[in-house]
Amino acid sequence: MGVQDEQGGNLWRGIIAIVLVGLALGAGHNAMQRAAGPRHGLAWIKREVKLMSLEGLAEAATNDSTTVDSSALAGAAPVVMDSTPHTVAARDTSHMKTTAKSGTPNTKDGKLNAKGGTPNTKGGKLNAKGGKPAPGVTTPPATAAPAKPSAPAGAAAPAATAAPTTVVPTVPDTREPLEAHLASIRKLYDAGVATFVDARSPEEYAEGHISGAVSMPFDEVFKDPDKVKTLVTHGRSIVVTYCGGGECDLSRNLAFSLIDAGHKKVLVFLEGYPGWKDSGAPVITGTAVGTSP
Amino acid sequence: MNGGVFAMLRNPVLLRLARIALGLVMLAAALGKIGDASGFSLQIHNFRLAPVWSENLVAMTLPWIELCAGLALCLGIRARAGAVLGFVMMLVFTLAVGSAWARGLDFECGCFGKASASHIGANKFFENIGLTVLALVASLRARD
Repeated sequence: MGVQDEQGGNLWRGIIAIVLVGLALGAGHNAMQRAAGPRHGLAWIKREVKLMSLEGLAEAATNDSTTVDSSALAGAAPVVMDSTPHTVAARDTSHMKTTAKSGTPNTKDGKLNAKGGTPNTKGGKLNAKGGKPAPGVTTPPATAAPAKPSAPAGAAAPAATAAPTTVVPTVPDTREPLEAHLASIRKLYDAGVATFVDARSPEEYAEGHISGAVSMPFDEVFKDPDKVKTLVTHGRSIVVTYCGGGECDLSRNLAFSLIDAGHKKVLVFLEGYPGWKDSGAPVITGTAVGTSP
Repeated sequence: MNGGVFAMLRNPVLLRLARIALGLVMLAAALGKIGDASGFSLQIHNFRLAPVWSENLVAMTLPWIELCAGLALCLGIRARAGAVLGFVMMLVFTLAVGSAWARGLDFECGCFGKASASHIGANKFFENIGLTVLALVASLRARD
């Protein structure tokens, strides 16, 4: 049986030989790269990375019986998981606890136990540094109501005399991006503590983007990873990436690139631009960045 | 008429040229992907066609199979086997690109690694159809 090639050899045997040699070379090449160092080569079996959510972390920190997976939390950085969101106007730091002595989350079997009694935690909270806000997180003064560049018609304006009651979620330092939903992202936006980065194509950016968001198409970062180093955050330590929402992976991929570039507070805005626009939040068309609080 | 075209396509010189052309394309595609396996794995993920656990396995081996097939085509060693393999791969790539295009996915296809970035869309789809036809021709058995 057999289909012959022009050289009289069996065609199928030739195909199988090419496939087997290719498989062996591919596996061998990857094995050699992995042997060269942990950052080289691919894992043999890829596991889907489930990102922790900002909201889930805050919820877990409030629940004494919950353990928090610390695998993604930055080991060397002080972990700030303030379960009780502070207010922009008057941050009550009394609920924020003391610093982890070594700056390393105390882990047991890969889990960071948020329950009281575990060293380096107090009162069931992961620790904030001396009651200070997260590094780089700045909060506007009490009297400074966040400016909304193009607030939707009908949106309630904050009372001029009353202290604003906007609560700003605290973002911990992590080794992986965190996912966050519209409500949290909007609070960070209004507080002016985050840099927004649009991971979509320049054309989509021009069609409409979050006012104040800079364009950094992931496709360009994919070709030139150093491009993420050009991101100017103006001292804002939190970076929020977004794209088209839904199945769009651009923001997630860009978030990982930002983490690789050294950013420690990177959030992936799950609802993306469609969710933001539908909520009536400030958007702008064209290539101009626009204003943000 | 059809027999005439078929006979012409089986011309040994034409087949040799078709195989070298396909081989060069496959070599370029393979080298681009081998140079950035993690990027290729990411691109495979973007297609959302393969289970996540298999993406790295495909990313680390497929370019090498492509490389071997390309070498076979260019060197004329087991060239028809390389061409048949190239045809099967091009068919799979074209279906993948068509599927992503139909689902409205928008990303760099990663077909040539980072060497030549091109977005999923009509251009890429028809480019792949052209290469699939070339691979089909290259797979024919040369006239005795």
